[in-house]
Amino acid sequence: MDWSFQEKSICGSLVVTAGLFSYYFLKVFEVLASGTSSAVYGLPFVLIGVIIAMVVVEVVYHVLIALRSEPETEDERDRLIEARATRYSYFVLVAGCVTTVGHAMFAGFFDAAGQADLLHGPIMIANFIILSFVLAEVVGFAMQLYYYRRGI
Amino acid sequence: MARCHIRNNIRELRALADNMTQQDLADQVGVTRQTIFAIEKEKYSPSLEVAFRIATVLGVSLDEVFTFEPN
Repeated sequence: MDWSFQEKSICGSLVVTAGLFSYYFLKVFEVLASGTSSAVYGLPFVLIGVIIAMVVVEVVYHVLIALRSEPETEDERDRLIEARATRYSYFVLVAGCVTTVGHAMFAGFFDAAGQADLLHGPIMIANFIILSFVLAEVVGFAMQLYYYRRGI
Repeated sequence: MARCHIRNNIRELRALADNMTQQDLADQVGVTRQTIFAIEKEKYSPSLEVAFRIATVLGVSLDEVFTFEPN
């Protein structure tokens, strides 16, 4: 069975999101590994570049698959799959936010490596939240693909 | 999750309806071809409205299209 436009769209979004944000969080990890507090100030610019790249790639990809696909509108099965997958996204997002709040409030008590300033700065806290959003999106996309392939 | 307890014989009924294609059935019912495919493969249970629409398009009653098999 060939893939519908929705499945192609979700698969592309999954790959693009996971790929580009893997690159971004690799940069974040490099900053953390360097132990240099001032290095975090370059991360917002990397993030802006990743977002712009993501928008461009997604637009081009969706235009290409739309040109090669038959016209389709979203039907009840598409809406049901999206709704079910969103539940899992929500759980991941909540878990990420709770973890971030716990880290922001309590990690300093266990800061044996003395990296509290680096990890507690607003940019790093923001990165933890961004990571939660990205993981939630990736899980949502993956669950949608699972339901499309295996049934719901 | 992948298999439901509602069985159907849409594929056979389409053949009896002048070999109606999945796309034709989907267009008349108002869903995508992939949804009709998923219903025929019993990977998706349609809503009551869609089930009635399928039966109406195929010109048969609902219980001639779908059957429920309890555990």
